[in-house]
Amino acid sequence: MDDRSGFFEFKKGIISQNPVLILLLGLCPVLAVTTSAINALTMGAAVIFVLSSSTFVVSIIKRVVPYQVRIATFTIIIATFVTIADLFLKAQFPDLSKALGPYVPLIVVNCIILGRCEAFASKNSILKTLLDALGMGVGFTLALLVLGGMREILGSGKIFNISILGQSYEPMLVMILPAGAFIGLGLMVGLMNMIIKKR
Amino acid sequence: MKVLYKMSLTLGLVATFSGFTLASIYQKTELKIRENKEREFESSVSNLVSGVVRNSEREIEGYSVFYLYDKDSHLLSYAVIAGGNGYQGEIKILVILSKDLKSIKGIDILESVETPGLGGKITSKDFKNQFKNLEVSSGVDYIKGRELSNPNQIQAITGATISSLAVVKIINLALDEIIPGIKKDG
Repeated sequence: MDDRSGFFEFKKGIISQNPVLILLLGLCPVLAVTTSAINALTMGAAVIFVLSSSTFVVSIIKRVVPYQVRIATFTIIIATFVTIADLFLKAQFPDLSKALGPYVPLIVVNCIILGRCEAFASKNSILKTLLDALGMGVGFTLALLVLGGMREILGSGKIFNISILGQSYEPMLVMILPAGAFIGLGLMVGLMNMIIKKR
Repeated sequence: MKVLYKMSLTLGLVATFSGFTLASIYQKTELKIRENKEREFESSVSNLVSGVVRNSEREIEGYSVFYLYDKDSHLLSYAVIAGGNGYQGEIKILVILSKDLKSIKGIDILESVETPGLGGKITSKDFKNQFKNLEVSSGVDYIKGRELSNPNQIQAITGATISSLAVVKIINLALDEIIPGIKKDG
């Protein structure tokens, strides 16, 4: 694995191993918070923060943590950073924190993060871990942003709360409802598979 | 045996470190979070009642009731904070009652963790505005899909009946206790 460049570790999270569209991990927040683009973006930022900080710490302490308690240790580390992110959002961006509701604390159980700690950070150097985490986080955020943007445009005719489709547009209510999340995600996963097969 | 010690030591150290980190972050953010909540309360009140200069808080039947006064110390209306269970967690509602206790001047949702995009709409203007000037002598009622026919009715949100119902229920429960309480209090 050592002959892979740092850029590859960053890039793979965005396309070839995108956590949402290829690995299909952490779909609960993907489906739930993508009712608008700003929610998707905030969620993505919180995940990037938690993912890079916790994989960073895991990568530093990987040699001293006994194999038997590694998952418990990782979970404590992840939970710490998630709580920090939650408190920060509540203090600085109360409105966004309100909109995301319980999904910020729920990042604790997001399997992308534990997955990256276990599968990558505990086996690779600090620099590569950071690149991998950033790539995965950006890939997650982009997928959320596209899905959130699509649902917001079709479901309410707006993007980032700015009306773009005009008054005559009749919103497709289904796109804001949970069914819209599944339809949108399905289309995106299909499209992604098509792109990758063509390569 | 050595592994056991090492395991306990690692977990203990990580947990202690995490505890200290969170305690210090909490201390730094706590004030800001409380300020945000207070500011939110004040701006919610002033959005619904104009000219409030001061308020005095009283406990009535376990609820926090704020008596709102204008600059000449005339009583303007009452603000009540009512809480209860929603679809997935607690909902805290600010209810402004008219001076004669016969109608609601307006409501605001202070805290809620309803599903974003569905039950989350209880925080939308369209939903909250329905409570303006609602009669409360026989309790608030909710209907679905039909035309409103009584002055104490609101329209439930499509796709979020449980959340809409929860708001109505919380308000009714609180008002049942508070209105007699305020009357007794004088």
